Amino acid sequence: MNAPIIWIVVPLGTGIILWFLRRRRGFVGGIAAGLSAFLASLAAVFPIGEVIRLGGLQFALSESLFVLGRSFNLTNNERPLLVVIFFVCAVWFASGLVLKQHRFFAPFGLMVVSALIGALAVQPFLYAALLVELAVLLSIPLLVPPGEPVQSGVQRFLIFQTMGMPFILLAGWVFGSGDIAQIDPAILPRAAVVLGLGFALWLGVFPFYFWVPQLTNQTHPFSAGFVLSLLPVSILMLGLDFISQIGWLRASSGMFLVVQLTGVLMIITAGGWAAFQDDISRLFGYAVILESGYALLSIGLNTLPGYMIFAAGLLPRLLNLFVLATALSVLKNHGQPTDFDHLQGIFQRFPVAVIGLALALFSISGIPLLAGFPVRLEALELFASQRPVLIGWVLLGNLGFLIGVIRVLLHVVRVADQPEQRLETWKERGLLLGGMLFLVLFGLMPGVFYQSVIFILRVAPALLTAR
Amino acid sequence: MNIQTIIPVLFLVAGSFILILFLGWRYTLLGLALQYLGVFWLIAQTLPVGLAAVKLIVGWMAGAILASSQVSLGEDLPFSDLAGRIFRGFVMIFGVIVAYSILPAAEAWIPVEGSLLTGGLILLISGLIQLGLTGNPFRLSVGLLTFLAGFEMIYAGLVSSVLVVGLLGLINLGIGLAGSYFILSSTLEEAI
Repeated sequence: MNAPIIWIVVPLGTGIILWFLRRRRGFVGGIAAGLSAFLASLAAVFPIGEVIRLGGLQFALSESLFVLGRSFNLTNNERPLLVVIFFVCAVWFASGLVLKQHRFFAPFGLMVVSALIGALAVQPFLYAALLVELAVLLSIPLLVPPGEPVQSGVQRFLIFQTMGMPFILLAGWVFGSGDIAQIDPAILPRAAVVLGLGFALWLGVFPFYFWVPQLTNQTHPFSAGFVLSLLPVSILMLGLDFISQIGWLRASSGMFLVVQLTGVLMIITAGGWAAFQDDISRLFGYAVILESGYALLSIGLNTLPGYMIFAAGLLPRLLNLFVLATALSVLKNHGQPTDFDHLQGIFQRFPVAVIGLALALFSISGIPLLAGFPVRLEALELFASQRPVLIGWVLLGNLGFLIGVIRVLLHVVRVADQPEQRLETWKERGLLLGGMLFLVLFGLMPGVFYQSVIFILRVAPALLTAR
Repeated sequence: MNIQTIIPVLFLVAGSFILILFLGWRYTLLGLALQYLGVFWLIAQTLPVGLAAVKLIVGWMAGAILASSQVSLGEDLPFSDLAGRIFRGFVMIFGVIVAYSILPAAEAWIPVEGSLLTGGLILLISGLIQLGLTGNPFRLSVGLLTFLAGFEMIYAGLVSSVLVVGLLGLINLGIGLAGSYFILSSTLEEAI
């Protein structure tokens, strides 16, 4: 038994098989959700590289799979991340059944996850860039349902992600070419700039992020939500892995300052633009940018509490985006436009979806008692202690986003002139209520949930020694 | 530079001009054919011929996938008048000038043979120009292929791994298929 085969090859193979069965949407979605849940449980229960006794049966999961002289390694350090990723996938695939996602969603979704796990597992790490690009290419049919024309947002997504790959490969060539001490010292800062540019293009960092709101506005919010939940999180984890493996990067205070300032810039600009948006689906895009900004802010602290806040922030981030995408999908599936001119009476037609939408947006803004609040508060406190001059700008950006959310709220509570019928189905309501329940539970009992997710930092073990 | 490197670089320049000046799918195929021939010729001087041939074949295949999808769609590509061609021609001339201007700086950064770097930079800039001048899925995919071909040339001088060549080939084919999906997605059977 081999761990990379179980968590990389099996989802890839299943995705390919399910593609052939794509017409049976319910069956395909069920298999994808079931397999994801099974793989998450396996990662939670079985240690890798140790002998496992199951009744009379004895076996061990080996860590490495060799392909053309390179290896894919999944160790016990990656298990918490595998649990999170496959659990998230199970939730998205199961919800995709309720929200009637198109026939490519589950097969290509599994293949995308497989490529992303492969990117996190491959050694030497420079090959990760190629696997992330494969994940991007596989996510195209997921974002553009068959029968619909392609929009500029998806095209720009492909362009920016593809343009990021060469930068990462070039930087990987410098940092991965043996002993750093033997490399010309003048080359290293340049390579760091190239690496930063690559990650900036991948993560949609200012000014390369204008495709994000376009993507959320022009594609189905559920597909966009799936891709924008998994891809940036995987890329951020990859970034941590790079920093962990390259001692020169870890020791570079300048790089962490740039990461921090980039995070601040993303929060300010996302908040500023969000305040003036007239469409909720575009606000979704700015929410993704704001979340990435906070993630960079936490990483830029370069302290153990900073990294822990980054890890703890992943769970609320994923939950916020899930509830937001689900609420927007319910509206979209019932033909409800999301621009401010067409929101009159929406609360009467979709009460649960509107409450879910508002709660998710407030949680992203960091309103107390919701999932986003504890991590936002902790991140802001840590940042204020390190850079008191800049904290006002971060708060300003956050305020901008909150103004955007309040504008949404003012429009969705407008009552229709005529009595309106409720259009949500009971399954959609159940899904949204479940998500909202966790949004509140996360906010009320953050410690219970965060302690379990912090272990994903084991992916980058060298960072755990940061002070 | 010798004749072995001047001719393929000229192929790359000619291919880039054809891709930028003429928008029809036949001209695009011709431009891509010249471009990948130049890429093959230059890379074959650094990597084994077998690995260089992978780039040639994969590039031609990706171009063929895109062109056949465009033909299947049955719609004409956007037409460009003389003024548009003159404009794009001048942009490409400036692109080539920029490529040669930044060559010395690039040589200080990246220890790759001059001809590979020259060709790579020309294709990178040509790809960026193509991406900047169109919103059409067919042209956009060709622009991405050109950009990647430029990078692959430079990268071939740095890394000679079989897995890298294989994965880059897969990505080129993937871009061809994604472009084909972009072109044909609206004609496919409805989602549900």
